[in-house]
Amino acid sequence: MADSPFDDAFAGLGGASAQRRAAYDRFRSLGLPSRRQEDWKYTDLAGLDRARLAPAATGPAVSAPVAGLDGPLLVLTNGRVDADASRMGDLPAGLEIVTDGEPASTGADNALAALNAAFAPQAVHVRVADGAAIDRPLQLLYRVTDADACAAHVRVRVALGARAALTLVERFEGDASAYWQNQVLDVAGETGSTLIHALFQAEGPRSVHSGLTRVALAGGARYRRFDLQTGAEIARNEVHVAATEAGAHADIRVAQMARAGQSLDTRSYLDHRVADTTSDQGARAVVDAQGRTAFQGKVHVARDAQRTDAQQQSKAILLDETAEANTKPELEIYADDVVCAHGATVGQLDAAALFYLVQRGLPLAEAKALLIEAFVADLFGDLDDDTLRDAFVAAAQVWFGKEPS
Amino acid sequence: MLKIDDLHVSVDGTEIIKGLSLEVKPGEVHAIMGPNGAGKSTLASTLAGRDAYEVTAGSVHYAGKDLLALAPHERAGEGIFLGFQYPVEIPGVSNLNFLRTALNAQRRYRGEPELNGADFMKLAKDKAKDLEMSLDMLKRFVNVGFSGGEKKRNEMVQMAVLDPKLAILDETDSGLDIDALKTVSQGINALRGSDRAILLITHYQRLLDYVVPDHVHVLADGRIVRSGGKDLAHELEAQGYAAAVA
Ligand SMILES: Nc1ncnc2c1ncn2[C@@H]1O[C@H](COP(=O)(O)OP(=O)(O)O)[C@@H](O)[C@H]1O
Ligand SMILES: [Mg+2]
Repeated sequence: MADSPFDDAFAGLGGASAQRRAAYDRFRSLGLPSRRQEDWKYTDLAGLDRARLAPAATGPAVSAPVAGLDGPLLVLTNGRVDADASRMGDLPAGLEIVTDGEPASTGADNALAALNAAFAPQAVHVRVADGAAIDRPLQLLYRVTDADACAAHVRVRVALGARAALTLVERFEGDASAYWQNQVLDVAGETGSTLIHALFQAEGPRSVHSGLTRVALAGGARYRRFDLQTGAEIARNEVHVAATEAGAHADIRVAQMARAGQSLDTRSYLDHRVADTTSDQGARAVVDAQGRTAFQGKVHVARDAQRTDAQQQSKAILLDETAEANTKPELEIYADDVVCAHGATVGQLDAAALFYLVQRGLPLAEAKALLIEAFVADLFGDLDDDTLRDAFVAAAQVWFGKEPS
Repeated sequence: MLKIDDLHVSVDGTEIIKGLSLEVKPGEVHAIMGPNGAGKSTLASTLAGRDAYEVTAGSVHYAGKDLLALAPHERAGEGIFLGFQYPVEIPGVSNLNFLRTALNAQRRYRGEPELNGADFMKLAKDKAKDLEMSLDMLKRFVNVGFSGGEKKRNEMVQMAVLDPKLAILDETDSGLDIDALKTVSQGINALRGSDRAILLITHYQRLLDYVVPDHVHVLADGRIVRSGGKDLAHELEAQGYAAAVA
């Protein structure tokens, strides 16, 4: 195999374990994904080959949790747990958080996951005990600072016991350095468990963000994802959900807001493996001049997965002629008794609504912002937590440069 | 207060308003009547500043200012309110949020302090009550799921809260049953005052029994072809536009 620019970075780790070595070899045989692959049509990672390889050094601690949330907070700065910035005392009963220095390499058929397994300095394990309903959200804040040409690999595992419930809030952010943050999140939901997953991707303006979420749901387990992508120059997210027992349900809500030079790409894989499972995907994109988004939603229904109900809706608003929103539902259905609906629209802001607003006194920019805010907020309408819903609206307002109200 | 002089307006290159002149003084209510397609809504949209409406000749002065030089939100700030013939639905924005944002935008424009949440709520609730709109409806998204009559009533609530100097009401009476028509008329009459003016665009004489105009104009094919007092409306109702215009 030809040399890879990643080799030096890996050698730089010094004395890597056999497990990391195996993960790295796996990455080397898979190679970086390229745009020639159908799944990667909209994201170009070629630049990572030449830069952003070295593991990021520990950066200064910064703590900026989501406004209004006062639950436990775990901060990872440049890929490492930052105990000083975290707020982990007095965890609610039934919630356990352990940090491990040797991330286990699991199911690395994915090049970026393999690279993550080779490089991630630590893995965070979150466990919720059987029957425990954690009433305060757990916040994970991933921050990258002062990390030009560096990569931060973070790895998190969330295991929910039977009938357990957790709200997990993740926020990715960073400064203006040209870094790469690469996360792998594995979720295992036991029978009857619920994970509400709120994700704010607000990485720095020159960064590359990649996120891989793999979810396995047992009988009656629910995974509800509310995801707002506003940051990074290049963002690529994959959400894989395997519904492995009857009654499993996934809601995926993804809002992407892209401006000049940003490329935000989310790919979902909803795998309905058995009968009587359901999923509902909603994607919204707001794209300004020279921005680009892609949402590719894939639904796979196995031959025996009768009575699957899989819905998918995607809507995009283009604010300029040079904006680009790509949306592509992909249905692979092998069962005959299923309900799988999908719809996609791409349009502009409603001119009649804009005129209505300006006639009532709103300056045009404010009128546009209000309509876009409503368009995004609508997607998060079935998130029950008011504080989180407000936080999403505030994050959308930040995208406009408006002071959060 | 409003002086329109030889106005010509084109939409998509087609001339719709073809030399219209009209003067409205403070305290007056003018009714503009006319057949479908005459250009009534085009005139209203032009005064409010909708961008597809291109003024090719003529002038409009409002309160001594060149109205056509102002952006739509500035015209609103100067006190111009357009009651829409077809009010727009805005999913995701509540009536209350919409109204408060609009009112405070206008107050900012005029250099007045913004209204705080409590004061605004009191104002909005009072005005909604006058017009028989429930708090529940105020909390709903703007016009979403409203009946035709509810939408028109909502326009009147907005007008009452925003308290304009010049209200241009485009067929606010159409689609209303008789009870709603009375309620809406009360809303319009409540706005009358010596320093304000109202331009009532209507298709039927019915509304004018409740809101009695000082002047009635007939708009046909982009021009005002007849003007008169309130009796003109009755004549039109009895004889039809064709006879009145001939
Ligand atoms: N946006 C538009 N594009 C093209 N033609 C229009 C538009 N709006 C109005 N018109 C035309 O202009 C004329 C006047 O319309 P309108 O002002 O709505 O009449 P009224 O309100 O008196 O019924 C009609 O012939 C109508 O078809
Ligand atoms: Mg009309």
